[in-house]
Amino acid sequence: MSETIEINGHAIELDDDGHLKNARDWSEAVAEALAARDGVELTDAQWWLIRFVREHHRRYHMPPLMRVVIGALLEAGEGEASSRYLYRLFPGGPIRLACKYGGLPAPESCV
Amino acid sequence: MYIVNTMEVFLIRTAPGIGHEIPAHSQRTPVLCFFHGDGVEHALNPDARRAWSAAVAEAGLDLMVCESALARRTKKPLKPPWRTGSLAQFWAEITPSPLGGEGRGEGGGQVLAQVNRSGDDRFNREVLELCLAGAALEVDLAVCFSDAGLELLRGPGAAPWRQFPDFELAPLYYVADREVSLDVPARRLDGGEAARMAGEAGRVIDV
Repeated sequence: MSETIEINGHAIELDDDGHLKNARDWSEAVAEALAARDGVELTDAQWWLIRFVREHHRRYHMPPLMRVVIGALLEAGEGEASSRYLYRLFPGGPIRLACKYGGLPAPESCV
Repeated sequence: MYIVNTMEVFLIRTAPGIGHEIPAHSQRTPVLCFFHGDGVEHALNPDARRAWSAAVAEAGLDLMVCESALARRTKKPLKPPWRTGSLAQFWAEITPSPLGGEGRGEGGGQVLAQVNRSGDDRFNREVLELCLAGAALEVDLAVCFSDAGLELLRGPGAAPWRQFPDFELAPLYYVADREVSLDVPARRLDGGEAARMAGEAGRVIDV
């Protein structure tokens, strides 16, 4: 049986990698619950990245390249525009974890 | 299959038994096989490993396995003829050295990816990922679509290609005698301009 998290009395199914089985189950509360399972309390900077990755995925049907995120950080004046900064936000992999907490599938390739 | 000047390159991302055959090979050119995603199972499955190892002995294939994908599946190191490498290493090996004098013309170190066919979703995704990997590593890359390859720039499947113009990842071109309708902005080249671009590139990858 697959793993679940419970949000407001609803059981939400996860896949083997801890990502949502159904992207439509996502909400900000779900993101916080997924992060909390990993011991992470989401900050504003982490939320910026999650929202950016979700919007990018909506437009292009895949997560962004790191260089695209860095360009967007520079443009938005958000934090420090570097991969080092992004890895400080999510040491386990900024794009991968932004996808996970953002309710998106795990990135398929290592691009 | 991709032909990179005098090197043939195969990308294998599906597990053994799902579509990827061991490449028939003329023995005239070196062949680099890069296994990524579920393709790394070829290096772990005993039957597949034996078959690939025999092909190495016969045709001198170079078998490179994506180290990240492998690390997600096993901690055991691979033995020769298998070797591990990153996508960065893969691109470094197929990209002309800026110091090596390999450029054939004014394009110098530019890699030109020529996409002249489309296929199933998996094939189209692999073409996209190959180009995105080059862009991620800031390879001096241009992508030129022709013939059936133009289909990759049409319909819902074209959405990921819009990243190239939107974020200036690499210029996109297409070869046609007149303007055609595409869902991704690309610059038209006539046959002569396309041939000139290929002649001036440091390396050409034919898909």
